[in-house]
Amino acid sequence: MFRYLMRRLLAAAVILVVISAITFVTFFALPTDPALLACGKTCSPSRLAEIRHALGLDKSLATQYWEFFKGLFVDRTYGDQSITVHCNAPCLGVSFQSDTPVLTILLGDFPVDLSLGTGAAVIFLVVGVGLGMVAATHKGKAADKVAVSASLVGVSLQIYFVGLLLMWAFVDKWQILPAPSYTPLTQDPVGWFQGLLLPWATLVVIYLAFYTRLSRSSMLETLGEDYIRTARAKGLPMRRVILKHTLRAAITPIITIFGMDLASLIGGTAVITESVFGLNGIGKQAVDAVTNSDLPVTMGTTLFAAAAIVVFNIIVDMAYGIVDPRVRLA
Amino acid sequence: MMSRTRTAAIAATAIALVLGATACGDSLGGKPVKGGTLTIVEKADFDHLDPQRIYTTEADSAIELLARSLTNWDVTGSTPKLVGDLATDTGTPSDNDQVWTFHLRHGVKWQDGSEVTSQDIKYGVERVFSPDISGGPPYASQWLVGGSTYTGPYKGKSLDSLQTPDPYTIVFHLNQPVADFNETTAMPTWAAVPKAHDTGSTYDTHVWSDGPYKLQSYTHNKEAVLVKNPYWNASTDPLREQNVNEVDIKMGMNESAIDQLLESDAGSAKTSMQQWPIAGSNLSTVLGNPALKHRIVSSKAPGILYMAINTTRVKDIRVRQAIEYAINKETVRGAFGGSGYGDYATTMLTPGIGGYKHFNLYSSNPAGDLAKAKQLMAQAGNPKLTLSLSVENTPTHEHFGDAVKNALNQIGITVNVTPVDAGSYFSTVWNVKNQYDLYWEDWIADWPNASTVLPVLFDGRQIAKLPQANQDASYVNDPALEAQMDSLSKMPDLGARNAAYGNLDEEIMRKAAVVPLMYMNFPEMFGSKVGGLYPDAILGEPNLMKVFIKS
Amino acid sequence: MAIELPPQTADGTAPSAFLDVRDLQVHFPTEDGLVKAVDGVSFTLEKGRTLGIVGESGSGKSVTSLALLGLHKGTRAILSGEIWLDGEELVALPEPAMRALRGEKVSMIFQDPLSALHPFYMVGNQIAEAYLVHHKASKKEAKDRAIDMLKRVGIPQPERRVNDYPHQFSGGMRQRAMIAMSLVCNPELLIADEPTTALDVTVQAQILDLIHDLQQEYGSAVIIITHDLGVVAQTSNDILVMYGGRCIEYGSVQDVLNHPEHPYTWGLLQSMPSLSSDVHTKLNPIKGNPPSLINLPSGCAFSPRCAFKDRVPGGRCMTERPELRPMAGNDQHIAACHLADDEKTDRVAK
Repeated sequence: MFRYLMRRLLAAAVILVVISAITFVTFFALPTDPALLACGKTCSPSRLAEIRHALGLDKSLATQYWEFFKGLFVDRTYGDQSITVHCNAPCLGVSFQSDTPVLTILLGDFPVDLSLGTGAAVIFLVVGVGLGMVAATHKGKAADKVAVSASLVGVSLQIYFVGLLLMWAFVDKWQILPAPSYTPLTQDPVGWFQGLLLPWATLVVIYLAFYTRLSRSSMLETLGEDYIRTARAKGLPMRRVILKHTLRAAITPIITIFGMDLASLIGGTAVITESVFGLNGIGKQAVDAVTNSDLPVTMGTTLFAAAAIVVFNIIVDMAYGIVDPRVRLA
Repeated sequence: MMSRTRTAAIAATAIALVLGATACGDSLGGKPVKGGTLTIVEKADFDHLDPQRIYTTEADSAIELLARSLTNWDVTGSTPKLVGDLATDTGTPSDNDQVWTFHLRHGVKWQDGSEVTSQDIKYGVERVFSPDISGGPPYASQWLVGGSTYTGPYKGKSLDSLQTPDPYTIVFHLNQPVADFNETTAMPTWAAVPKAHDTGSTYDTHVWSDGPYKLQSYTHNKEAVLVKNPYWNASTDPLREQNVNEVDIKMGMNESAIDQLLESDAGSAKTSMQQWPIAGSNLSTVLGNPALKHRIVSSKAPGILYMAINTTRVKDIRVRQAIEYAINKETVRGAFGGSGYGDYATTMLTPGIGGYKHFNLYSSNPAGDLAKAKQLMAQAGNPKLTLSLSVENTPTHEHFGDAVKNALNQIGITVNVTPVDAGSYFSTVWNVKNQYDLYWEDWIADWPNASTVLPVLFDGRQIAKLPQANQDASYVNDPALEAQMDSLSKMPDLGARNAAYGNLDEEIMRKAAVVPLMYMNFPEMFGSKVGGLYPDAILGEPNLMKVFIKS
Repeated sequence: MAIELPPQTADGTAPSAFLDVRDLQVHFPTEDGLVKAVDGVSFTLEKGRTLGIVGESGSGKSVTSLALLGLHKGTRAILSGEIWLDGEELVALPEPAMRALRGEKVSMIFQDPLSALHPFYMVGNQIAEAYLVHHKASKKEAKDRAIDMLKRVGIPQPERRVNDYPHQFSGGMRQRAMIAMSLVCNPELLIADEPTTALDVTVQAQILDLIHDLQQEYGSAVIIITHDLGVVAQTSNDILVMYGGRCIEYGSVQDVLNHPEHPYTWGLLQSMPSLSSDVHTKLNPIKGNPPSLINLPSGCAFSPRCAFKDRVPGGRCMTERPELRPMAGNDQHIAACHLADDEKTDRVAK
């Protein structure tokens, strides 16, 4: 098990290095020049050259990448003009825009996505699987039809629309909730919960439909399995057949997709939700970084998202092992 | 150019508002009250809050609470008036406007109680020259003697053309006559920075205050909290008031959500305001609600939205004139959101700018004059033209592109609309290697003077000098015009200078190199408990200097 | 043995045996039409005895066994007829009461234990669960019971193997575990659905012996469902041959195997590899396909595949459905065939 984990982590590290190299090269293939942006609208060639030097953009691509890579293990110091910025290893670089170490930015934004993603994911998983279960066990009946058509509505909705609608209703119209914002859980649990309630609800509305449909079909497939018939033949109550025997097996395909969804939510894909509710997470940071040609932050957010996916891939595989003994012992 | 963001997202925010008047609504809200917390909801963080790096209107407006400049604009009257801020007056020019002397007020205090001196201003201005302090306007480095070789104070060198004969006097030695130099000094670029508290490239989040408020905390992309600066004294500040206890600037909310929140006026929204203009898509609801009329500041910015014609690619002036006549400004304005976006423009100088002269060389009907346009095309031999138009890749801009395409199609010109990434729009079209014939452009003057518009946009010498940042998008390159611009900037008499600029504008328009489309407005909403917001025609922002929260 | 002519309708007579199935019908409505999976099957079975139900796949034998377990309840299946088990009628029995019987009084050994055992739970857990659902016992007691059962079905080191997962068992061991699970509550009626398919010949024999031994021990009634007459010959007292959802021949093992009366049974006997013969002997399957259960051929369902239909005058095989009737004067051996007794003289001998 330990060796397996080590092997997976090593492979993950290689993947991240490759992704960082690709991001680096892609960034420089873009038509925008970060130095030109920093220089402002009226920019003389000599000043542009100075800024390029200050940002380290005058070095060769390979050198820049090597320095970035080295920074993961060795402290770096930026700037040779004004007061310097120190970036402790592991250093992911320093933002062109704000001169803050990228890791500091990521760690500052991470709790937002973690709270947003995990909270929403837990809700849409539990509720989605629950609804899917009801639909599957009542196939063809009213409950199933309601769940299936509600899913269709959910699937066709846009985050942007749902978010603004919820906000209009709960914050602006009825004034039940405060305007969404992020308060750290450790600082004020109630504020944390209230501030994230609408963003969660929005993500849940969007994802729920998918999980309902997925778990419905997975449940239906499992219900047709021989071992479910065996369970019934043993005289088990239907409740137990569904909740124990069917759910356990039906959940496996859901785990994979859930893991990837959670990883990408934590990695910052909830950028529209972040933006609608003014939660400044990694997604928004990434979009801003690209818009501002802020290479270090672009790299940082890309790597973070990639790392989230890679790590969750490993977690999913291990979870698979826990759920399915055939995988565990094979 | 002052912009909404570094890359001028002004056009991305399609604005339409029927409220044409400058000081509409109830933004003043009666007698100031002390106390309360003002919340400013922003869709994004400031590009920079470091005074020397600010080049956006939101930051420029916000920094007025923290950093005082040498001169400033009093916007409480019917037209903005230049006054001394840190300086006792608007400065004294000498030596043919090449030397400017400012005397500082006594008793202006930093947030730690120490006094603001001329050394602090010298140091602040010197910072501009460091490549680490990038992003701000270029005037200091353009005009100060020795500026072309100076690279900032961080390596121990100072700039000799900035003289501080005593702690309350600062003298600027310029390499050319600049008659409106004291209008430049109203920009935060010329603010003081105490050397002991300079944190270099991270000064954005560590601005040291000599204004009525000081930074308590500032987390990028999240929130900045401003609290009262106890050492600020009203007697040394003719412009500002210290009414609210705290200003919370919250960043990163979606612009529609901000509009929705302010429109609802629910809870904390009552004491909130916005700095980014109302989004185009929300304007119909805003317009449909008469109750909101009293909660909107609409500032007439010294901004012009226009279409540039590349004169090196569209060489025949009759074709360019035909384009002037053919463009339907009504449909163009419709694309940007309707009448509230601004009034139809016929000149490059806007009505709020010194030097503005009303004239109209082309169609008197804003919908255009197709007959005249067709006639001009016939004179040019009805060439079969295909022109490319660059716009930003936003829906608003694509609608704009369609409006131009439809209009020019009627006079036999095929237009290919090319959307360019909004984030890199200007660095693309201002690169002389660009492949376009027509360009969407906008321009907001840094201060309301023709010298910040016409030379910037029509001095053809920059084509060779700044090949990657050539703002002369129409490639007008006329030595006679350039000579006029040079001599105008040296004219000491303001009235004569303004009159001459008006004539210069007309002369440029005769070349049919640009199609002025609209004089831009910026409408912003605020909550029902916010008072003291004056429309600031210099920045196109609600002015924060006298803001208060109604009890 | 008390075989009587099965009545075509419920006649109010008391059930004559421990298990008395009368005119059982199981129909499934589908979009293509009504599938008559079982269409009027009757038989009886006493405790301690074994009935073999034989037929090709789709003949209705598995559906019949699921009906005995009441597993069609809550589905779209339409059941009619009567199933009397120990004086209780199961077709009309409500689900909760049926559930209490399932696994307790009636239990089933499913074919293909790899898919019939839950892959995610330990074998021991699955056996213990079957016990716990019908008995008030602690988990420990249930586990001990599971170990005991595994031991009884011949799993070596049951204390260790009780914690294994199905995939860790060999095919034969899985079938033993399946048997252990179905016997954990000492059922009075045990149904074994193809218990030896997919097992090699030696293991097959072991499993059949095991079922037989356990039957002796508990005195249960056993139904063995198979397509293999050899298995029936080894284990059963009576044989019921099904074709197209109906019973076509029914009698004691001796009578049916020694004097098969239906051409289909002849075919089955021909296609059977003899246990004693060389395993490489080429099988001789019956030509043609099983009939569609939606559109059964008019007349005898087997007639399209029957080589002897021409011997019946007037084409009756194609027009008239043969009823079950006593054969050769033996009213405990019935078959449904129009062929006159003297026409069967040149039948294929076993």
